Amino acid sequence: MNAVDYTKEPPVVEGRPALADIDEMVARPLDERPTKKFYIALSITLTMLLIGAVSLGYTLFYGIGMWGNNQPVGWGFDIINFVFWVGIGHAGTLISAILFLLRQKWRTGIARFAEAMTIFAVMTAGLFPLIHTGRVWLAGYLFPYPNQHHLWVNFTSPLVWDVFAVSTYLTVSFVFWYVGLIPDFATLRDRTKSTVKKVIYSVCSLGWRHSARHWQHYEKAYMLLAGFATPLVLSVHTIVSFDFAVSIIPGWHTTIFPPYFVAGAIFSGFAMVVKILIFVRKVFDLEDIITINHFEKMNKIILVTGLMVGYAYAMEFFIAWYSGVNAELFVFINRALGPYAWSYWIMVSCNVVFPQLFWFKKIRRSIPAMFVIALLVNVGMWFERFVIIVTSLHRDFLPSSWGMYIPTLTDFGILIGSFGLFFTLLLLFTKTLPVVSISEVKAVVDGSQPSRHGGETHE
Amino acid sequence: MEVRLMSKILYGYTALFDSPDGIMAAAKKTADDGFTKFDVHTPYPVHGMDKAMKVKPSKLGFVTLFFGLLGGALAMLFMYWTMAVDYPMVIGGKPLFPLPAFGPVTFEVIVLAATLSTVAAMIALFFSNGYRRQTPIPVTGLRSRYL
Repeated sequence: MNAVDYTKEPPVVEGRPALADIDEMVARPLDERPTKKFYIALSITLTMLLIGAVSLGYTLFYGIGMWGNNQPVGWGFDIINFVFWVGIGHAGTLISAILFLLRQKWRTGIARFAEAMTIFAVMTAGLFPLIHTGRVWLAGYLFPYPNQHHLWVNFTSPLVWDVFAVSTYLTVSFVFWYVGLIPDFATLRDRTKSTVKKVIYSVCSLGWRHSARHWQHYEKAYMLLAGFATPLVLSVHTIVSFDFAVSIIPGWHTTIFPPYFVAGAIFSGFAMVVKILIFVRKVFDLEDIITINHFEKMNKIILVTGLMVGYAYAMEFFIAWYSGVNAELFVFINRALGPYAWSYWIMVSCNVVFPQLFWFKKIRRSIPAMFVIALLVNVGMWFERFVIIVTSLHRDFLPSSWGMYIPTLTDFGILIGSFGLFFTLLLLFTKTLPVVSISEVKAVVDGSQPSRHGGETHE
Repeated sequence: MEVRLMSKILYGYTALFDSPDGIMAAAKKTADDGFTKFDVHTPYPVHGMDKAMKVKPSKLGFVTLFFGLLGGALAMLFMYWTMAVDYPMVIGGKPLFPLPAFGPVTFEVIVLAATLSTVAAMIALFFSNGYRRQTPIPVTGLRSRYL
């Protein structure tokens, strides 16, 4: 285990299982009844979801006065959670689309799960802009449709860009994920013995017959989709950052925001993927498909993006000073030394300091260590959004309008509920669909491609 | 390699192979002999198969290009019409047709239109193969072998 040969690519799938064994390995959890542990986990996440639902019910009944938002801090947990969850989603698309275009074969084992995580995270995130408007039932106004007022949405507003970006992102991620699932639905259809399941899988597999003529179109479509998902994922967090960067609030009005947000999103998303896959590979006995090498590679990405985020923190400070704008400089000094300094230093230590431990190979390959660091990264990234939103707003140009932001129990309830929703969906996913792409893993097992290509995927 | 007759009247062959090399060679031979109404079923895409089978490259990319451009053009036109023609409003002293500000929405609509049309076209192609009835439907053994 310790002597890893870095001079050649480690096998993506360990132990060279027979192709039929891969079916069994991946599809077995779908045939068995859920275990007691599954129900315990589900009851925990459903309880969290219920807490969120009750808090949301209070909010909808009494209005957003239930929250800690005030003047001058008009954005609070609602937008923090939105940015946090959108960020979590980004790792999934990075793994499934960008690593696909870069021909990184190791992505196959983790892509399906990461994509599912993307969809659930974006679904969770999508709730927050709606509830933060206070009157969810008027959410239809966000879309341009011919209404009685003869009014259109303001297409020059970053908030409208956000509506388009997030809804496109959710749709495209879902379609991309579903296209990946088609051959696996067909595999499940061919192996199941239950009539009901056979009908469901047959409908879902859309007439797939594993024909080479289908594969040809399929591969083309998959490549095109990956080609679109790649700029899409970069655009989504760029546009989310425009919500801030296009305003004139000191601390938000910075051009570094788009790349800084994208790097931070990938950073937090990978931390979430690492944490969840640690459990998934254990619970579903997928140690051969999701190997320690996968984790090491993901930890390297966490290290790289963590350094980018750290660079952005430093550069923000430098530019605040270099710009010579007093208000800008004050915001940053206030972040590091003001009343919310604790949140700033939580952010810096979790996002910049602790990930440095991944320079050590032992830590990159140690499951408990990476779990703790990934958890800290997610905490740090949540606080990053807290710092950006709350510290920039609470003390602006006029000292007479300064204020403090104290979140209420309802705020925390909705935050807990968002985790409940995300994990409930993930748990249900693990029991209903194959958590690993069966056909993609088969294609990267040693010896699965014709020998005249020398085992390489592409000529 | 096993060869089975499907019925008394010979109108097709089905063969199972144990290795990707085997089916690749067979597909090449079949195509070289001038057969066009044949198909290969594999549990995952075997690379180089389209060349061996002599099938033309997929034309899906044209669908993507057409609908992507159409979606982008319509989005841009629609934004221009709403913001500058139907209900012109001066917001922050900015021009009525600020091109850079329309960039994000145009991009998102291009991606959405291109993706959905590509997938719809792909699914349509799954069902529209003319040689469908000639191909015996594979039943079992396909998950790990090559038909």
